[in-house]
Amino acid sequence: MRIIPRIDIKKPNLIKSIHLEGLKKLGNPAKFLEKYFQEGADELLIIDCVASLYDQKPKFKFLNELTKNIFCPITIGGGIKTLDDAIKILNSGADKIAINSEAVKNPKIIKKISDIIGVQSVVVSIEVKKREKNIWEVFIENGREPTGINVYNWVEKLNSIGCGEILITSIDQEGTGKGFDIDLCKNISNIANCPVISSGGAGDILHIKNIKTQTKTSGVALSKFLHIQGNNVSNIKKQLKLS
Amino acid sequence: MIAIIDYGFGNKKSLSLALREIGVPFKVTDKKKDIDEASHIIFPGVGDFGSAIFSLKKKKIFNYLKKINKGKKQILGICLGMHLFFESSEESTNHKGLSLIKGKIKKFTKKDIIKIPNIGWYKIKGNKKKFNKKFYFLHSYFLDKNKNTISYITRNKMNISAIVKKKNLTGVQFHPERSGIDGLEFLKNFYYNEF
Repeated sequence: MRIIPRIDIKKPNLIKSIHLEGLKKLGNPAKFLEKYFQEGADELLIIDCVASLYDQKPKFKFLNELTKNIFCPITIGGGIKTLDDAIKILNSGADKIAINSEAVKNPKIIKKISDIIGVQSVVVSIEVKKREKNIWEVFIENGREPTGINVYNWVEKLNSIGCGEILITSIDQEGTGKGFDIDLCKNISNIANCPVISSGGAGDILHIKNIKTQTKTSGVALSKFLHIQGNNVSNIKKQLKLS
Repeated sequence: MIAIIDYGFGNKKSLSLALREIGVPFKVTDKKKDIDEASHIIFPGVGDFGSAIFSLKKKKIFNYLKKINKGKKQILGICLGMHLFFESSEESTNHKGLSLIKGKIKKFTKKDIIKIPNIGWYKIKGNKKKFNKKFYFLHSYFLDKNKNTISYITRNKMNISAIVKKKNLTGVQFHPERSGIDGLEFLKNFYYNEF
């Protein structure tokens, strides 16, 4: 299982939210990225969490600066709407792009991008809120807009379109440090054809252990657990016997 | 100088950063003149096989590159770049590869590995020299271990080529530009030593 620090950005700061709201500024994201790379992160995930919401283009120049001293895989998301955006994101130092709002509004864009940059480099980010036991609704625009779509239907659709990875974020758990939504991660990693990264809720090493033993998740995205609680990636990998 | 072949897309940026970090001169290019002048050539990774071949044809360098292994230049193909060396890939039935090495790139099926693409850090093995280290893999297509394979990984009892070598051609399925210090060391070795 891969350990993936998640860097949510509201330019020029790394921010941390709770339930994707109430943004707390934590400072220069470049410092965090370089620290996690040095500590042996398997990959890094950078999400511009306001681009889609404010209908902004990805901030290519800024991303370029952030990634220039990093030599592990980087996924970048936020505000990607077109094939041209995706290519520019790769030219800004990313190896994979993550797409959420536009993918839901216009699913054809997923194949259009994959046909050029390769399906392995297209990560579809899914944000959900739990509605009842084993039912989750897909949200877009950084957790602001409900879509009425049941997450299972969306994942099945992605199975038929094809994508490189799914990043699943539980809005309910995000920023709480109370643990992942295990049922969600278990169900999504069971039905998805591609690898799944679980995000939202990590606050204790036990939470990550549970994900590792109880689900087919291929990677965990960590934010508060690292940025605020100050845990070291290398120690986490040792404790989980991943290194 | 290393010429990095420009398909018009891909992660040539990541590769450029890695080469800059190790202090190796390079140029991202699609011009025959630059490629002629380079001592080394890299076909970068990330992209679709058919789109890359189509792009090389459009740039009118496909036929030129088909003979690129005749000289003395050291040539490295990374992931998709390695796939382009072969005759064909299941990623695109419309386009033949550069056919510098015999063989066919296959697609993983659900039976082969549990989740497609294959993503992660794997320790490569089989190489008697010094690169039995962990490198980063990200791919849905692969080459079976064969006589050109000098390193491989095993996934679900399948042996997948990690490094292939034929004379001055070296192909790697993993991404050295994204494999931390060991990856940078690998690229340095490509430039300063003959593999």
